[in-house]
Amino acid sequence: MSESGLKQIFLVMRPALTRYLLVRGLSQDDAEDLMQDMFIKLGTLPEGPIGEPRAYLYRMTHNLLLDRRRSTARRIRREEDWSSGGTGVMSESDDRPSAEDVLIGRERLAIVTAALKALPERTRDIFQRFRIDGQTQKAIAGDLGLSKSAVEKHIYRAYHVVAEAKAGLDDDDSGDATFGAGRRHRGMDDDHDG
Amino acid sequence: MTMTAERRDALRAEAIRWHVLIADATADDWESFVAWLGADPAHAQAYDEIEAADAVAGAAILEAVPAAPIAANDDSPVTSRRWWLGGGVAAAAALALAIGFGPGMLERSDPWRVATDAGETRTITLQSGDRIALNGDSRLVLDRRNPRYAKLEQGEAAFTITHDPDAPFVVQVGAQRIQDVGTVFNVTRDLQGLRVAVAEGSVIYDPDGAAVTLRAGQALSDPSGNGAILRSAVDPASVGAWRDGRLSYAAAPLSLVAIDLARATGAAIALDPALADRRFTGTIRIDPNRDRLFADLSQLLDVSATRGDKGWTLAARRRAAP
Repeated sequence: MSESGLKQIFLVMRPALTRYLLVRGLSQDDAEDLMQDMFIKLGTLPEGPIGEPRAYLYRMTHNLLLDRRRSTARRIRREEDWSSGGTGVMSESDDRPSAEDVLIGRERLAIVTAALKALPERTRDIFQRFRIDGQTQKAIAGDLGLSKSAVEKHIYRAYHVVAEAKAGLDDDDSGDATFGAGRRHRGMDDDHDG
Repeated sequence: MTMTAERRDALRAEAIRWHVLIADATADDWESFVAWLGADPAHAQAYDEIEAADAVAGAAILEAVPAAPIAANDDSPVTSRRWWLGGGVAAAAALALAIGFGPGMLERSDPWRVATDAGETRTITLQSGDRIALNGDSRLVLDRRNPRYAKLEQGEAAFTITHDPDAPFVVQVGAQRIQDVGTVFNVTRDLQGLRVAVAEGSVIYDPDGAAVTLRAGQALSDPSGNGAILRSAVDPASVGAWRDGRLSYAAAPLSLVAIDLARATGAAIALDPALADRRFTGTIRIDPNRDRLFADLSQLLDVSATRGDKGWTLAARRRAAP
């Protein structure tokens, strides 16, 4: 798949990709904007074969949406700090967390971690394989001799307890805009040598 | 209008199913996902909730998985040294650390882990073009949100890093940090503690503390990982030579050689404690034929090498009576 080939497929798929952004809640203008960014990014990709270019382009759209949501969440938080009488010394490019952010972050992490610790070890293992090691549902099922649906049940339980713990936190602090998004992609190439 | 708990749970279950699916989706799957999202605004909302849970879940699951004690830090006397290295034994004596990421973890990092089995090596190419070669029985945590960070939890890795003065590459190893100054360098963390060797450029070890600069041809070891370091010289060409199936040493104790061999071959290796402090200088080529490799080692290290049920045993040779 050459670079220009990928760009051509992008142009054909652009309405479908835009549709994805719209159903995820982006405005038409923001969606167009993001598509334009993506077109520019496609021009800077290193040459290399891409197995499933259409799935790849969906994944790339998904990741760019997550990036955008994260930076929007950070900007909103900064503006709120400003209007609630912050120090007034702020830099738009400063992404470093404040001391207060750090404390809140650690506390929240501890609460979610405790929820995961209450799960059976096997569920945690499967969830770690999925979330951290990037193994697919099918690969985990193969490794552990389980059915795909059994693997899905474990992953479901883990996300469920995280979502519950997080919902409890958000009720305490409705002003939170920092849990913007998560993502799963393989942003790095990785090849087996032996 | 508030949603019933049953309805909310059912939507959440659907959203999780989609989240699992799109991690490894075909274009057709993506189209089905778009159709599901578009069918009801509550679907998109349920999916947003799972995506937000996913963001925090990465850091949380790493903290929730229990960490084994750090065996490398125990100052056990020589007599209590374990005989067996590698295989399942090394895993049991795990050097796993509680993962303590820096501040602001929650919304700013997205860790993932690369692990190898003993005897397996793997090369990771970061988007920046930087390369990390991971030796056997090793674990490395990378951060999708911060491509200039890596944490070596266990084992050995060789880093080939393009220096960027505005964004130095930082390798975290236990409590210590190593910062590149434009560089090819090798880092090891195992039962022998922490070791760093530089092939090209230079690195700063413990930049926030002792700030020791190591240049090409220099190495250090920090046996207890607490900053009490020993400096040494190293042949730059031998740094990371395990990537080519070679292990090179200058007056290295056999205890260290045995750990490297276990990592490189995947074979469990028992070392006679009487040999642990004997020194070896030379290069071992990792012959893929294990019998031949250990036969050669027996000559090279002047030890007896015998194969048993668990793996290979290296013991002092019995000398004929004078």
